[in-house]
Amino acid sequence: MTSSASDIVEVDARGLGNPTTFIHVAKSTRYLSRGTTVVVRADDDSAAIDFPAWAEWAGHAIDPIEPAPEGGYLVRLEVLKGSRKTQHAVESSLASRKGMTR
Amino acid sequence: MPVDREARDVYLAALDDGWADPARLHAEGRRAKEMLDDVREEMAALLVAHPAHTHFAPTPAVSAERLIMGLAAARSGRFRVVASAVESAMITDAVHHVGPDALDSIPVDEHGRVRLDLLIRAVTVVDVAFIALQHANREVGTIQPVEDAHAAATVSKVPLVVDATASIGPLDPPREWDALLADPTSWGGPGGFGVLALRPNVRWLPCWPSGTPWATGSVGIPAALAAAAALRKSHASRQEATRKVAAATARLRRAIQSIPNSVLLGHPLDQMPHVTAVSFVYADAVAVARALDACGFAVGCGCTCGRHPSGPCPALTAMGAMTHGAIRLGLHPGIVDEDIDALGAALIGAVHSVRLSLGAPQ
Repeated sequence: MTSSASDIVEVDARGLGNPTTFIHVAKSTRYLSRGTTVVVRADDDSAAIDFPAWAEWAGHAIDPIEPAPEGGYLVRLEVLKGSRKTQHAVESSLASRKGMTR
Repeated sequence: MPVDREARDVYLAALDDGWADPARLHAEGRRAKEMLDDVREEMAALLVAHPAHTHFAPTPAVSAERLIMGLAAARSGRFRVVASAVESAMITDAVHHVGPDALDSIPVDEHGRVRLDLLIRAVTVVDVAFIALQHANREVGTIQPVEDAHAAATVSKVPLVVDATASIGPLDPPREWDALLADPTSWGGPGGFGVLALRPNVRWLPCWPSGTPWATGSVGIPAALAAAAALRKSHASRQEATRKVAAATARLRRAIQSIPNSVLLGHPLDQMPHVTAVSFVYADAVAVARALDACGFAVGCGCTCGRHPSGPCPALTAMGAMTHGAIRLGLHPGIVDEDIDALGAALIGAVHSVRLSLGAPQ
């Protein structure tokens, strides 16, 4: 994941399936603030079907999915709510995993 | 659901009694014909249909194919078939067969309920051969506005096909239809048998060169008798079964709501009482279903409408629901609280372990 000056975050989810594409995107975007644009590169067909519903659930605006020139597709998201529900869940999961490794 | 025990006994008895071909003239054949006619009378009465227009077919899909071909042939010059976006493959495949461009798919809302305004608008144009609308959706359990659709169909003088193959049993048979499709497996009858009924005024043309228009050769008499016996029993016990199964569903949903990142699918009110459909975000539905299977619970995942058994479900996609992690739980009326609690615990464990193995947010 790389950040550019204009608040665009790129996430490479190529080679992942469904739901692992969304797990990767959720982890990569968990601390982003409202208004951040996220561009996801992905190539799983069934994840493409789920993207609009997942984005709505996670609190992101989503543009129509476009095919990527190099194969796969591009999804442009805008963080709207800071997806509190997801963020909370990610944090609690991290906390519990830390607990397990101790 | 498993075949009802009494229906099973009727089936076995009919193997001895009704083995003969009802088209033959010998005494056994005449006896078989008599049994078939009697069961047709009873099935028609239970479905509030006319016996002379109640037909049996080898499978529900065959009955849908023959019905749709026959209706389309009788409505020549009208090419469009208006259907909800969540109809099963049995319907849409038959429509594609009669006309590759015939299907006019009407969107559904987020609960999977057809957009009635769009359906009514689509029906007012004069080129509609017929409308197809399911009584209730088998994926999420949402009950469709069949009465309103039938009112619109009647105004436009277009026949309405109601696919009740997932709903009769859990629900009373629908009353508002011009053609009805039913599947005995939805009420505890045997598989491999289809029932269809037409209102006497509905025009159709036989599309098969010979034999009866609905079934080449004959249908299985034991299956017919068992189907009617199961439907009789389902009618008699529906009120009590609905009360029990609705309470069980409420108990199951309370367990599901304790699972983080879960989204209940379907309609909050107009819903078949035994169905719970839920999307566990970041979980793989196939893995969850396998884990539950190992605990002795048979649950549905993937596509149940017949298109691709393990692929994303087009009906869920049409209602804008996430297809990954989507599980369908159908409760049997005989289920007790202990079963529900065991199922809830197994579900909580399965979703947690599947998410853990994927490194998913919990």
